[in-house]
Amino acid sequence: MARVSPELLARCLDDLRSGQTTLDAVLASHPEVQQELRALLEAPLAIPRGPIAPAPSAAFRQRARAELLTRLAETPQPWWQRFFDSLAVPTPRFGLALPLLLAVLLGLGGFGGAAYAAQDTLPGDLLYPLKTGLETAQVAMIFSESGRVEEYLAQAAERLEELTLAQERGRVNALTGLSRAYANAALGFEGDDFVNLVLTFQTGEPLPALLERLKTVERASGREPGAPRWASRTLDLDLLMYGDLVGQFAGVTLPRPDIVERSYVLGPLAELAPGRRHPALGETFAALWQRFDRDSHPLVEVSLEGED
Amino acid sequence: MPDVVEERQSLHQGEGDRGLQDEEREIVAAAASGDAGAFARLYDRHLDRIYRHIYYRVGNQSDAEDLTQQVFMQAWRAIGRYKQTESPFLAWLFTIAHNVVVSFYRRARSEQYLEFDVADEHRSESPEHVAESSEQQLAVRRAILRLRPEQQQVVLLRFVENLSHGEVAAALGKSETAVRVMQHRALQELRRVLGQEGVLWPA
Repeated sequence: MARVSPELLARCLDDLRSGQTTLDAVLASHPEVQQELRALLEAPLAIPRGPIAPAPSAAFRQRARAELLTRLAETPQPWWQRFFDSLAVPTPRFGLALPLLLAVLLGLGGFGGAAYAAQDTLPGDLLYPLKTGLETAQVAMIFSESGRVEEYLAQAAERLEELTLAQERGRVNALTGLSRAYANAALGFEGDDFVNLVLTFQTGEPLPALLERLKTVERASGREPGAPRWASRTLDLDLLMYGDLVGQFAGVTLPRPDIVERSYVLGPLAELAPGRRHPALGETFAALWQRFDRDSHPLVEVSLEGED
Repeated sequence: MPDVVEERQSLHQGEGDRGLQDEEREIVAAAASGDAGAFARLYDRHLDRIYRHIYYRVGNQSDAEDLTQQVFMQAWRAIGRYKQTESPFLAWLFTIAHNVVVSFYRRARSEQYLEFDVADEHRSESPEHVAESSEQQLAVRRAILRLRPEQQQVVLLRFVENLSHGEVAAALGKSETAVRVMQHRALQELRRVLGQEGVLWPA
């Protein structure tokens, strides 16, 4: 016996909604299930069109808006606070509780002298004296054996400290992961190879402030503010993800599209957070890395033999 | 073969309003980074739809007002988790509204969705509402509110809010196939209840 399937019902509803056909025409084209189809289609057709309920009163509109604005102003705005508050909202689709994981891509430009010069130009006051976090970072950098790369990465670690310290003491943003370092040939311009690594940390900083901080650190590392986009530079910091945000925020696309396009981003990320899901694609980084075409984008771990 | 142009009077109000969608995306982004003014603009845009939706489900002005405020406060706190790619902002608000209404009824220890105050209909009505609240409309609403919450949500979003299958899927976090199956069951049930309410002949 023929039955009306959910798909057939959905198709008929779409046809009716488009206004291209009538109930009688729809029923006539499915004679084998006409009776059942009629019963099902009559139900939504019985729902009246037009405004379904009264509009909010003008008094409520004004009072509620003022009240809402007051309460918005009262609500403290560190984003993690809102994130945790939001866990109380039972919204299944949007409701995955995730760690405050955040990844920054560090492209450390050049093994050559220019990079080291940048170390000298770094203002001393940018280096926070707090060492405990730095130690943690160094522990994570087990690949640093000897030589200039190690030195270089140590300098990077100090910059990470700047990044991962919130302005308010007492609310330290913890570095939670640091990948191994990988080299890639400079893309799209003549210059030195880059060393790339990914780190994750927790932050209490709102997104715009964090982006500003990244820029500040880049500038302090010798990149001229007005330099061409593709020019060689000593340090490049790119925010890959901020929590689970998806979309355009403060002129930045999150998660950063590079994640799935560059072996030296996806590889380290898969190493640091294999089980975490790409917020937009929904797949784990381990799975994405598994599928990645590594032959055409080889990933070369940086040799740490102290060569010049 | 004639071109089939699907006219949708739904969340996007047609494809011509892509600029409006982009604008909204920017406002949402600003609100997500903590801009209360941007959030207030979202509030102004969507207050009516959300209020009417809630009013339809709770049936009286004072609860509708309270719950509407709750929806926007929760949206403000949770906006960092709203994913722009997945569903229109309004669909996301409907999801929060659904949860708020469901917990409202749970708090009121009312498993029945029949508890709204019908008399209040006639007390608080505005002029345009007078025209709309025919006996049939009240009976249809009673029937919808007798469905299980999830079925209610599908019926309301599809046939009262006029969302497409895809938009409902995004709002509920289900696949379109799952939504079509839910819709099928919900309409079977609604047909049965409408028969009981005397709106339609028993099937």
